[in-house]
Amino acid sequence: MMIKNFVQGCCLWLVMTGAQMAVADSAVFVQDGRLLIYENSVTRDVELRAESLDVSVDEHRVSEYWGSLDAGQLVVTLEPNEARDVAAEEDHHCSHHSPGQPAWVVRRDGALSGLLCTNVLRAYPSPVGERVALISPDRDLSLWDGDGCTTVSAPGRVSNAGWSPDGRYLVMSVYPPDWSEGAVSEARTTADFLRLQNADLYMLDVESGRFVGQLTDDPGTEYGAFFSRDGRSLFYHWLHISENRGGLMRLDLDRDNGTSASLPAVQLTQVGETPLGRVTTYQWGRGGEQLVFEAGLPDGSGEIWAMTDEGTSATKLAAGRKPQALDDRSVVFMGADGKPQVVVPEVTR
Amino acid sequence: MREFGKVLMTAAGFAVLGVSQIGMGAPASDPPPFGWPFSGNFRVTAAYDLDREVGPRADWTGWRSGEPTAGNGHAYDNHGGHDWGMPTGTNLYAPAAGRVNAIREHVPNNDHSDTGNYLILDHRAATGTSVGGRDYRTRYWHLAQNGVIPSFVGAAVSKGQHIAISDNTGNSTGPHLHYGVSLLPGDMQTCAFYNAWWEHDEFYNENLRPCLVYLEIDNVVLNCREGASAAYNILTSFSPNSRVVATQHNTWWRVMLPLPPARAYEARTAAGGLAPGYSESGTWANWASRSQVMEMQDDANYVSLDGAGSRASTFSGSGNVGDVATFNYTIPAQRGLYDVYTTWPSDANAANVTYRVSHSGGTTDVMVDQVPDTVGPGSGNGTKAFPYQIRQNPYVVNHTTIGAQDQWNLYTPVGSTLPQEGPENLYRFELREPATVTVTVDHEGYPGKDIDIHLLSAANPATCFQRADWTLTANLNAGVYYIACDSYGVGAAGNARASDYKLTVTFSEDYPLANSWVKLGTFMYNAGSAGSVQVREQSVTGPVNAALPSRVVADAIKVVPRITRRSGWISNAYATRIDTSVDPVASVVIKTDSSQNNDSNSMDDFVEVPIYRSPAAGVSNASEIVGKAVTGQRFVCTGRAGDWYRVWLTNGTAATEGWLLGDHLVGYHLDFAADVEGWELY
Repeated sequence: MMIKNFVQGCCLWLVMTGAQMAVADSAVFVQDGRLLIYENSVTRDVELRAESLDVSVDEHRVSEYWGSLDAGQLVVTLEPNEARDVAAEEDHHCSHHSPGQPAWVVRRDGALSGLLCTNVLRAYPSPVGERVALISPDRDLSLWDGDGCTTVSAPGRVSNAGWSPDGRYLVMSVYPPDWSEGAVSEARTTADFLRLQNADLYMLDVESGRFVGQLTDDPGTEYGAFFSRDGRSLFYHWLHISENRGGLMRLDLDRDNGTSASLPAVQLTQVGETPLGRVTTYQWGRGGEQLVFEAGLPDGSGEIWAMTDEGTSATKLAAGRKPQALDDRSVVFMGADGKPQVVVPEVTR
Repeated sequence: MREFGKVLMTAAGFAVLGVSQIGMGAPASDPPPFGWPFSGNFRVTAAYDLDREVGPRADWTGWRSGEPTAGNGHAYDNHGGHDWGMPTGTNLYAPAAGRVNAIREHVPNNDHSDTGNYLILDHRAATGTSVGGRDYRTRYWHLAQNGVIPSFVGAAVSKGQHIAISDNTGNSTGPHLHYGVSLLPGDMQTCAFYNAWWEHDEFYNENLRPCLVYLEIDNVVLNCREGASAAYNILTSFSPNSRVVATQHNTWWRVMLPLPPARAYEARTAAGGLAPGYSESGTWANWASRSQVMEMQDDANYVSLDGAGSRASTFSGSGNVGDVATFNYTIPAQRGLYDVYTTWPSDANAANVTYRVSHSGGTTDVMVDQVPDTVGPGSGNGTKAFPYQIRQNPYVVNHTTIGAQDQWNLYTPVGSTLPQEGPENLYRFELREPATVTVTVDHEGYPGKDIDIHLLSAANPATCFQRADWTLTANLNAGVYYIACDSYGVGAAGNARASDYKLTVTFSEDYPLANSWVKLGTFMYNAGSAGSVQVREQSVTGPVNAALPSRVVADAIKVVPRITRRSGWISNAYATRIDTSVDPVASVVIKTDSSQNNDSNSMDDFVEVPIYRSPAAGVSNASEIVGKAVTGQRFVCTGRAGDWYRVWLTNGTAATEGWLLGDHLVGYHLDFAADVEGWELY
């Protein structure tokens, strides 16, 4: 792998509060179990409503917002009541089993419009169409297409996923078939422990339901894949299995069908010099020439960073979490003060 | 301080084999080769699963009596390391010098990557960092982002070096450290870590793989011996309130920690003073002659009565009121049976010595009569008339049969055809309690020199019941016994084979000899709060042999809580009962034997017995688990009036129950699966 040296480039950026700058699009945050919709420089506290559905949402809290469908509906997971009760009772008790949560489609006025699945760990709405990739606590993948869920037979345990811009392909990070949340802690040998850290990227043709390619075959952990705006390149994280190396990678795809690698992956950043962004936090700006992402901090908080699409000029913008693109220039994120903030990153190559 | 911890290394039953000291923990002056991965005290949230091989079943490896159930150290099935719940940011340290094998440190918390940060260290001879001559690997998991100090694979770390910061990365629902240790080259994880949970239990590990044990020692001295009793050599001692790490290779271990409250409390007036829980009042019989206190051995102090000649004293009421003295022992708030001992010299040369024991159950006068010692004086000279007196455990002397008297020539009924016409020496000992005695003679020049040993029930060769060329072991009841060390051979040949020799006699019990502790009695203590027991001399008459001085004073007492053990194989449809109105503190030890070959050594024999306290008979209350008994480990049931306990026997696939109602422990064995065919309560 080629390691590209980090070069501090020129970066201009401006942070404005929502009240100071009008934007065209919107963003959604979760705060204390509630949905906050940032729209036209105004933040709305949206209350969940069951309406005609035969469910009660009195006690439900939103655990995570995953994105929106093309009709603007929101995809969220809700925190089950019993999970909160258990969490409150357990002090320092560590287990290795994530509780499944119900995933819902929610209208922007807060009305629950449909239950996607009851046992969901992560959800990835397609940028076009009515599809949602759902990952269960057992790391099984299923696809919801508006009519129901279809389980996908994957070559291993699916951890996280990213959609191609046209919504046709889904790239996912796949751990070995015997991986489980507890399996790593149950490994008795180092070889087994490290083997279970190995994750490769696979591409699924959603239309046909077939896996059309294994994009990486590296004894490391590849995860957090997302596409370039034109869909011709794939970006992802790579971590060496045992050495203190890794970073953001770019894999140029076959220009004819966009499903297989045409060249070896290029390492854009190096851990230790540029932080890894949290999965699903990368946002494109400036026509796909710059990246904004959330770098997680050890205390669980985050920082908003920006860099070029070549991994250069990486710059910390502000403390905050959950960056979301408002338009081609602006990104809104949840500031450390609990209020949405807008940033216009300007990093140059 | 009396020892409580023992390390037994046994094979094929209880034959004692050699022991490897390599890598064993050592006293503070010689730090154990492995250190702890952190400082401070953190709760174990999930222990290592000892019985991975036996398939899916619940595991409770590591469970302190009285702990509630959830999240308190159970080893969930297949768990490959040991979890300590600890706050994010806790500093972690290298347990030994080593080199980095693998690093990952850049994964953020709350990520969706399903990986986390880790550090793996190798401790290998190839890099000069083996531990106790063995190669190990240690693994730290769920570390903080950017929380690994060494920066590259191969980096050297020193023992105790700050190497990482704990966190919650990877799949984990709470901040903790997952710590694993494996032995190279196989890299299989070693056995469990034990910290503060076996203080009342007995852990028996037959793990044939090399094993690393982390121990937190309570307020006791933990002696690790090479054999099953205090007669064996101490390999190492661990200090009270200390943490140790010990390694063990090749064979099995048993680590015995004290049963509650099994300390043998002792109070003394001379050497050592009063132990905690004791007080002293009044004046002992010979207070004015306290300077005559002689420390004859570790176990007893001797105080001679004033002068020689007969004496009769009454130490209460009228008369020698000033001679009244009392030892007072404060009983902990522990219902149970207590045995009371006092010191007693075998050459007390006194009769009608009465001790008064006062306790919560009343007052008991115990008379201890002097066995007329007709073989004196002193420690003897090896003749039939005056045998050497064995009054120590172990008893080790260097004697010779060269020039000794030729007293007996044939020993019957054992060894009746073997000519022992050479000179011999005779030894005498008296057991107050049943004990196992081991006698060994050692000399040079065999066969030109040949000293044999003979065990007799009286000072008469016709009472010989066991003999040996070099060593013998016998299980003996209380009584008087003799040992003859005789030169083998006929006539002059016997004389020619006379030799210098070393005689070693060891006894299995701590204090079986008549010249040390005398058991005054046993009393039941029922009170719910602390009480007391008092011992004092009540009267004495002496001496028996007017030509010798009397030695009678009890200047030390010992109160030993008694824990009843029951033994016997139980099969289906058989129940055993421990009546805790008589034996209020009972221990439950589960011993299984799938092949019924009395080995109980296979992990296939593993069985677990959670013990519940329930509101009433037949009523389950799983939230009140008070402890457990696991194969090879002991749970002590302390019967309290009105308490119910449920003993749930399970092999993970089938379960059955027994009930403990206050005074009655009932164990049932109803429907075990095929791999567990028996279990034992004792």
